[in-house]
Amino acid sequence: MLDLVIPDSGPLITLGSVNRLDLIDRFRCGILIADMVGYEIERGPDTAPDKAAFSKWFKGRGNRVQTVDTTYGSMWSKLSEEDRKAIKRQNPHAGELAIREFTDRIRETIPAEDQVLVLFEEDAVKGMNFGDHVHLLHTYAFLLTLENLKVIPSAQAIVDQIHNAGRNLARDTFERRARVPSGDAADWQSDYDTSEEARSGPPV
Amino acid sequence: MSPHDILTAYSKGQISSADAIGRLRLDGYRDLFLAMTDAGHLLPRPADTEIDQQVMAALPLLREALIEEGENA
Repeated sequence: MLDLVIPDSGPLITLGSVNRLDLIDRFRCGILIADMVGYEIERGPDTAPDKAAFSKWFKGRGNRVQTVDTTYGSMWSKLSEEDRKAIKRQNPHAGELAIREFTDRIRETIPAEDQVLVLFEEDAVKGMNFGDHVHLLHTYAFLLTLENLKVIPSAQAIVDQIHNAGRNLARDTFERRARVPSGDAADWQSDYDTSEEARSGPPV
Repeated sequence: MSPHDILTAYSKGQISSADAIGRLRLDGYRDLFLAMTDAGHLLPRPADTEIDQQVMAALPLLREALIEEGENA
C-alpha cells in the first residue's frame, strides 16, 4: 500500500492557492498530515480562497485523510492567536519540533511493507528520518511526476499559476499598514524591514 | 538584511523558511508564501538532479496508485 505523508503546510498552501488540491486525490493511498499543518492552513482569513479550498478538500476526503496528533500540536491548539504569534517570533524553528515528532510517529506506525511518499517543501524535512521505504517528493517534483503520468498537461503552467495566484490571495498581515517613526503609513516591506537603517528611522 | 535580501536568500535556498519567517517577523509559512509571490520571487526548490531523482523514485509508485478518470477510488 502507498501512503502519502504531508509533514509541512507548504504543499497544501501551494496547491490550495490555485485550487488544485484535487491532484493529491488522484491516487489510491492514505493521506497523513501533521496536526500543525491543519492549524497553519486554517490560520488565514476566512475570505482567503486557499483556506476555503483546503476546508472543502479536508472535509470531502472522509477517512482518506488522517490527522496525526503531536504533543506540540495539542499544546498549540490551546493557545490564543497572540500567544502563538509570540512563540513563533521568539522561536521560528519551533515548528520543526512538531515535524520531528510527526516523523517519529510515522516511522513507528506505518507498516514496514508500505511504500511512503513524503510530500514536502520545508527543507528541514530532508534531514529527518522517516524510516525505510520512504521517498521524499517536493511539490515541484510531484507536479513533474503528474505531468509524466499525463494527469496534468504541464507542471510549469501550474507553477506559473501559483506564482500569480499568491499575489491575489486575500491578505491579513499585509493589509496592515504600520506607522513608521515619521507618523506616515508604511507598506509591509518597511513594516518588516529589520535592517539597521529601518530600525533607526529615516536618514536626517 | 532588507526584506528583499531575506526573500532572495530564501528563494535561492540559502536560508530556511523558518529563518526567513523569523527574520521578517512573520507569523507562519502562509505569510512567507504571500510575501514571496507578492514581491515576485520564485519559491525555492531542490536542485535539478535532486528533483530528477525524486521523480524517478515516485513515478512507479504513483503510476501504480493512479486512479484513472472516471474510475472510482
